[in-house]
Amino acid sequence: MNMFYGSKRARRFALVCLSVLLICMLSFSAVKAQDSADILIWSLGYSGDYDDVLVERFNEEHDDVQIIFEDVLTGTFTENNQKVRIALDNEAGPHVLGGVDVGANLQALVSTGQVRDLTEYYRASGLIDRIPANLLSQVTVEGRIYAIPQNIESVGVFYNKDVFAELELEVPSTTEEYVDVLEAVKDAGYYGYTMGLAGGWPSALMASMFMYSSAGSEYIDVLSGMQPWTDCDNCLDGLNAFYGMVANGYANPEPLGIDYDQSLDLFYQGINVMVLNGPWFIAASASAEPDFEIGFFYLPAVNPATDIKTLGGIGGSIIITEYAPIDAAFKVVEWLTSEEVAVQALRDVSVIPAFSIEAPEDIAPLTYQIATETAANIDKIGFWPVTYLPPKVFGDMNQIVQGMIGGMLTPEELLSEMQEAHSTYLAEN
Amino acid sequence: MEFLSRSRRMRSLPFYLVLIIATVITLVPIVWVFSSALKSNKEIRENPLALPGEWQFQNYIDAWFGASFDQYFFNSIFITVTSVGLVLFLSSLAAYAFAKMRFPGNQMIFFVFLVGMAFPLSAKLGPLLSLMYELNLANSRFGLILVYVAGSLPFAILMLRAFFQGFPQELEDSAALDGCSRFQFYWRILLPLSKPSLMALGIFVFMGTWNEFFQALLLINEDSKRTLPLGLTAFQDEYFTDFALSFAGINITAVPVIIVYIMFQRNLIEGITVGSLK
Amino acid sequence: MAHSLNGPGQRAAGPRFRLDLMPYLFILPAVVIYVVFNLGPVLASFFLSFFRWDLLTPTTEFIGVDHYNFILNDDRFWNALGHNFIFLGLAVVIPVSLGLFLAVFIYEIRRGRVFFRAALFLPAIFSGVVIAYVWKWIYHPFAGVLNPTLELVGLGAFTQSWLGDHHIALYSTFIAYTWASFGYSMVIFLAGLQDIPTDIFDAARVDGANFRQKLFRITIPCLYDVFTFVITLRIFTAMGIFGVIYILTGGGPFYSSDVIDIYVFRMIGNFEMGWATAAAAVNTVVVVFISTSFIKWREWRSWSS
Repeated sequence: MNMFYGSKRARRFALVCLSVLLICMLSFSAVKAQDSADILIWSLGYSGDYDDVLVERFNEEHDDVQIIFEDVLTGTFTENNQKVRIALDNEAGPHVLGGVDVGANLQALVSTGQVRDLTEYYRASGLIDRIPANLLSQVTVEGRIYAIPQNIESVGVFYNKDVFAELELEVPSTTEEYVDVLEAVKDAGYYGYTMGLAGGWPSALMASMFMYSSAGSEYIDVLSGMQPWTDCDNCLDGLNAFYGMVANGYANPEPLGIDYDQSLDLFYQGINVMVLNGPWFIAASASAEPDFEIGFFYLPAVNPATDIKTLGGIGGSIIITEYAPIDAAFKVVEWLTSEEVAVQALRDVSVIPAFSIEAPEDIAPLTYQIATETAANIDKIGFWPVTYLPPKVFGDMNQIVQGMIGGMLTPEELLSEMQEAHSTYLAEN
Repeated sequence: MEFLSRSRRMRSLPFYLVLIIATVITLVPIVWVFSSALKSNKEIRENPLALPGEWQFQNYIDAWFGASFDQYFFNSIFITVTSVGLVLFLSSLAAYAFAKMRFPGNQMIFFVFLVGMAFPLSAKLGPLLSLMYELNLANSRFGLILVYVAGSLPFAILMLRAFFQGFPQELEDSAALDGCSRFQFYWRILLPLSKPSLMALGIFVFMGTWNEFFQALLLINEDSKRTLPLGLTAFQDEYFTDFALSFAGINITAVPVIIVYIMFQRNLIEGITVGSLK
Repeated sequence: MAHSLNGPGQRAAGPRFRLDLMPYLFILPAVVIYVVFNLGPVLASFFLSFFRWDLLTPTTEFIGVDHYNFILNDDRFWNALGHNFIFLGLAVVIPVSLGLFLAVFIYEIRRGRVFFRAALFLPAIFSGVVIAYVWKWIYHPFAGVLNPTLELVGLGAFTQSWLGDHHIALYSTFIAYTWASFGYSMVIFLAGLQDIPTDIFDAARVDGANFRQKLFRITIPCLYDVFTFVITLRIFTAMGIFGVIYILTGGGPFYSSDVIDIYVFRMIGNFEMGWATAAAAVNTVVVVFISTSFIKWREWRSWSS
């Protein structure tokens, strides 16, 4: 064996290895370098690209504080909440967390002690006067405030104005009128209710909306485990109304074969005439460029006695972690909650701010309508009931509701399945 | 002779027929996804089966720049290349020891490695997540690389050990006579001579790492650290109604493996079959 | 120096035993990474399945087999495991036999072997995520291609809700899995075929054996060990199926396509680490039992015949 030959080859081989390693390390440090900024924001929100626009603006306007913005949404809500909780618990998460659900999820974050108490900041900054009391109560845990509601979502029906005009339909204000509209739409060969339940999450959410708008606070008792699911007759009424969307042929076919985003496309195509959605839908539908005009009304409550105007709640809220550099974090929060930024977000992507602002009249009419109606009805807006459910039970609920829509369970059986899932969970924990 | 060969051709005709039909059925979904990425949304909706009327390369540009696929692509390349390099180096080192050296525990430690191939992925997820946070390696590319390397080592060692065992002992003896230490022998002789095997193994590990999803889903949070398969799922949530854009995203994830596959097809298949039959 | 090399059968029988540390240095880096990031978590998972533990609170409390009690009494767990078994039963038959037949066909032809092998193997190189999205589009009830294609070729009666119907959702995911996995079996069978000495086939031809006789009398018996390997591979992939189903159906509708890995992942997502680790442990035992007993059975059969 010629050693000179061998060593020459070895040197060449080592050289190649070294240069590969060097390139890897260089590129590694290149991506690491950006971590030098002051505030890391994790977003669980859906505004996606727009947040980049805001962050870029902030970084241009400020020299002392720089933001790094990271979108962390993949998979389901529960999976994401779990990831965030583990990261915060290990102090490996962000400084500022945007878009986290309130309710039970906020309580869970507070219980691990990684979330900063913002009560003093609220008082000092005057934020406490700008946020409506019922929103504030959603971010309060045992008398202390832990999050800043950033935007509010009130769910309603977006409808195809052209088809409504063609069929000479009026916007309904009661359940009876709503059913009449659904019938008329169906007779004309369209679908009135948009449903895409594959993938889980919309199932529990939609069924919850109907149950909540029929049972009101009773449903909250059910979710909190204070009342059995099977004893809630009003819940059953709401569930039957939801099931009626499929049973009466109001909803598009194959609700279990397509996911929610795929079902929205049926609306853009003009096959479905109405779609239940939140204000984020304005921006999303604009980019889909449908060739008809879109209108909006609140879904009439199943049980008018509940006095629930619409469902929805805090769409995104800001929390600050215990280990964040506090001055820089407050500077970022102050900027994000400023009126100017809120108006810009409202104008650009129809995000309805949670703190009271005057909606300028020169924005898109649909955005203006929703912003003003939300502000006028803010005390009649219910809140995402799912935030009361433990993650495991919420996950089960998605599958169980699919079971009802697929004809495997009756509405009564759904409630007793939920009761079983809930009590198994409570017994184990 | 003429008659014989013609009859032979006739005889293999049904085989060709079946193979052609199978190939068409296999490739149609791929061709369809590629052609759909060049269509407009309207075309996809109205006639899903038709070929694109006017080629819309804009879809790719939007996905690449507008939806951070450039970042995902870089992450995937970085993680995959580093993992492959580490797996090749560490596994060849260990496989050499297992194949050519005698030491107490040789068989047993090798068996411990083999055991790792039998566990389903779900068997380690919970503690792994906890461990990665303890070591400050969660939500980091480097941490993901270590997990991938650990996952690929058992197969790599098994395959290279089988290959190294086939090396003639005389080679090592004569190298020793020339005053070559064992590491020098490994580095200067064994590795260069094993290039085809290392190549096959490398391609195999490349494919597995590039395509991995489950562990990345569990360990990576931030958008800027996502790999392509992970980015694709996040992307689908945001852009699903943009049919054409999601087809473009699928293609961006698939094209690199197709290119590597076309270039190194023989090595890859050799890697699979050599590893399996020995 | 010759004695610096300690190859097998070459070890110098010195009067004093001296432990050679070099081999340990060679395997050390691999062992460390493997134990810390692969084997260790697996063992820890077994260990922790006997404790109350939720990833967040550092305290762990020994609770014995409570988690196993819950898992083994949970209908959803058996439902998921049952689906894995259905998947397994189908996976050892359909992709394996498809792979075998295509390998035999490729072996029989003379021109275009490389082309057909490459083309038919192509789907096997993709990520589960890519495969799932491709099939999600194929199955799409309104914009997909499967239903229109069926109508086009006169099989309109077979059009249906591929992922939305709880009777067939699992089988729809299996079709996607088959598309992506028969290529593996095929290339391994083909390599096995090429290792069979050609004079056996020549002798068979001289004896006037037809295609079917050749297949059952020669090819399949000669590929005995290859079969063992291919089927073992299918056992592992079918029992550990995740990505394709996670994206195509998420285990739905109403758990009708739930499998163990999705069950475990859902449990981790719900902070039910105890149940997750217990379910994963049961699954591990099942997989190891099935695969080792299968391999032992094959070895015993080949010895006894």
